Amino acid sequence: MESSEPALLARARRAYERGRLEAALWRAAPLVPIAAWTWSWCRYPALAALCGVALVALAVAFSWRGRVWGRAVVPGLAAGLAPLVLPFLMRGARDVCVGEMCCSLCLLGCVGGGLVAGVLVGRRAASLRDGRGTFLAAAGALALLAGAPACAFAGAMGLAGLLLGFAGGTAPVLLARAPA
Amino acid sequence: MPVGLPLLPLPGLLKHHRRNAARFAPRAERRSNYTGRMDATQRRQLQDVLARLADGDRAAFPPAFTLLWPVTRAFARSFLRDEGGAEDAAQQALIRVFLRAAEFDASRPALPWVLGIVANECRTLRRQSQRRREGPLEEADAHPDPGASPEEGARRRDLERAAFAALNGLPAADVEAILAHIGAAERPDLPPATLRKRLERALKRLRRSWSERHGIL
Repeated sequence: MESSEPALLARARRAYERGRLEAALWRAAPLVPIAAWTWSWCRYPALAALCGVALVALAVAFSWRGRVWGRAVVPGLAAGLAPLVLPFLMRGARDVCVGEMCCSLCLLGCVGGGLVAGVLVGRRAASLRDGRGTFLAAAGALALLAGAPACAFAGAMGLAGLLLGFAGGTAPVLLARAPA
Repeated sequence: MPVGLPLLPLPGLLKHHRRNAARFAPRAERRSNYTGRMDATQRRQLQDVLARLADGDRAAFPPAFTLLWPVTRAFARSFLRDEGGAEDAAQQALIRVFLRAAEFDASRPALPWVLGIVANECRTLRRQSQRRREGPLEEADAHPDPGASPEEGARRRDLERAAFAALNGLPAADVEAILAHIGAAERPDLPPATLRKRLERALKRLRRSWSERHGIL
């Protein structure tokens, strides 16, 4: 089985990449039941399935890629809990009316959840010296994909509210901590 | 039948055990000759490149390979004492190290982690090869001492197995000290007082190991 050093180097490189992929798959494995759970109650099962597959695939890809991408996985998923749980808990609530203006509580949950996720991701990104944009993109994508199935209860407005909330939570933190 | 340690034919069987000297890699790395194979700078480099590899920095791969291959090969040669088989084992062990590089915890020392994987791989390969061909004890069966009766031969083999099992759990440094004391290995490069103390500790552990197994001594 003896092989030359370049051949051994190539084998070692393949082993390294395979090891990273296996580790990434193990790390992303708990997301599969969560994605299945969101699919079971989501108003739009196709959207939930799409988001679930994308979430698992991106988590695997980012973990395998490593560096800033890999470091964004856990904060991104943790931040995604807020827009997943808040609208889910508020989905059965009646509309909230202030004077003549009425608004779905679920929609408010989407905006609020997005805001919380944005602040969490933004704070973490702002603390980084390098790769802020990469971190923000990776963690943001995971947080939004995690929250999207729950915000679908409020329809397209819910998804838009999630995005708006996330942007609103991220921007001030990043601007406040931007290097001079 | 319980047996007493002084009856054991130690020099012969300790030669077999010598190959097990690095059984517990971190201890082996700490106490045996392997510490001399990497200086402090290289250790720091190894720690750094493995931490970077675990983080996913592909640029750390070539220096990691350059640092790890000589260490892995030297360790496997020393462990297996068989140039051809050791080369194969070293290659497999190196592949295993890179396969598990993503799991490396940067807060822990890198070299013992690497040698632990290499030692494990070497042990597995040795077990496999021993299953394939006749082991040392079976070889002894094939060439019996012409003067010994079958009963004596069987008793001797029982004793060898028992002593082998007692030694198997000892740290590498203990085995080295015992081997040096009975003249089956080179004397470690240590001050006489240190060696004496180490031998004392090694014999104490050997007695304890023997007592745990056979209840006497």
